[in-house]
Amino acid sequence: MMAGYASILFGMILVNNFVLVKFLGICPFMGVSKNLDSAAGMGAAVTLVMLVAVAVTWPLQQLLAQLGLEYLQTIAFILVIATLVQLLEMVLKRFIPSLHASLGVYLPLITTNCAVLGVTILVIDEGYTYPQALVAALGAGLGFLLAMVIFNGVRSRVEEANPPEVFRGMPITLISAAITAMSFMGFTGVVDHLFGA
Amino acid sequence: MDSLLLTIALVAGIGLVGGVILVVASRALAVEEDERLGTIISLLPGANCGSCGHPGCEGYAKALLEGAPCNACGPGGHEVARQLGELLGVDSGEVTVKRAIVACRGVGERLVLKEREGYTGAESCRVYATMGHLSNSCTDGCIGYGDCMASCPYGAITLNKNSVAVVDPAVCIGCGLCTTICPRHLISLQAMNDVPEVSFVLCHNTLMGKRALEACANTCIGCRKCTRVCPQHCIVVENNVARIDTSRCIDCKACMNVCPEGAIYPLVWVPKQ
Repeated sequence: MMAGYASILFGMILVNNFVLVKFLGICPFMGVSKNLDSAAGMGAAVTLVMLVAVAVTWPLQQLLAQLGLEYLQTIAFILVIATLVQLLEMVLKRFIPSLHASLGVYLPLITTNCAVLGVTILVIDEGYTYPQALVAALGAGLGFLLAMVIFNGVRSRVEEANPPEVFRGMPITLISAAITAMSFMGFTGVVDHLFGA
Repeated sequence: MDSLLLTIALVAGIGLVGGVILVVASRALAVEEDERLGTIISLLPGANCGSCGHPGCEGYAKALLEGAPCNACGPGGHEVARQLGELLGVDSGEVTVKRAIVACRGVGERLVLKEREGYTGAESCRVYATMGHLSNSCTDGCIGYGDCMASCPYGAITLNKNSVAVVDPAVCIGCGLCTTICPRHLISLQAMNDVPEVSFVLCHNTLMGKRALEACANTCIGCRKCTRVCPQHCIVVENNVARIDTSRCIDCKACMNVCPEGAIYPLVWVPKQ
């Protein structure tokens, strides 16, 4: 039982990392990874939104299924996520204004962050139970956080380096993101063998 | 029909619940904002150019409330600084009004075309600049595809008949967006001082004198004649190009008269507001 949850959790963090393997949520990944504090803050914010979003959308999906309205999944989920993000923004503005300022425009952009919508739909497609879905959402969020923090480290090295002029700025950042993503390919199969799922 | 109504009811219901939650939350979590913030934002030009060193006009407005000096807004000029000073009850101080200047007059129509000869890539200065130098003419001059023109939110930059970018000082607000666009770093912000006209070297050619002359007929050759005659000592020669500190220029025209190549030109400022 616990092995099943651990398999889902680490599978989401390492094998199916939302940013580096599934390539979801690239916008904040590129935009907020310059500074370690805001990168970690963004990761934590997205993790929170993912958790709460799945906590709401999973029961909502059951309701939709009962009414035979599964085709409303996308629009209903987006509505829920948008509300949650607005709520999160208010909470951050009130209680952690420094994080609110450093996240800037990327905070409301979590609304349209495909990683959040992705995890809510994915846990349903995988047929997870409610606790499994929550664990998967936590894993997806932690994976996002991990990717943000790792990439922040990569970026700070890249910024000290002196690449040819044509590669400076966004090009070299994208290339280093690709290499970071490739390194995550190495995790394929590891978790399955560890937990025997 | 039932399912249609159900669909509408469901989506509307989710929206309603979400809306109610947000209304309650915004009341409960309201953050008090200084009421002067809105007034300050409306006073600022709203260009979000960042030339004050803050992220956009809103960022500057917030910094102002925390005691930042109110003369940092170049685009707003004296008038905005005065209004801000009145509102915040502080001395507004002097504003350094700046204007963008393109330090190139072009090497003439024929030579511009010669430099671009054989180039078939995208019509963009920045793309062109990455391609390496395709000819023997001036490699520091205006490329003339008008990237700066496209970047100017106020339409202050035009291309003249020789495909050289020219800034209209009456329209330019000195935000400095174009200075970061030019791949040859030809555009700079120059401080306006109290004389209506200043001298300026309209050249960026870093080649040595003889080769500079071969590349362009309008070049500065770095002969240093102007540095010796300037009564203000505000001219320096670096990398074979003379540079004039326009904020100290008194418009005596001594440098213009002595320049053997005619590279120094008068710039006419628009009067300060």
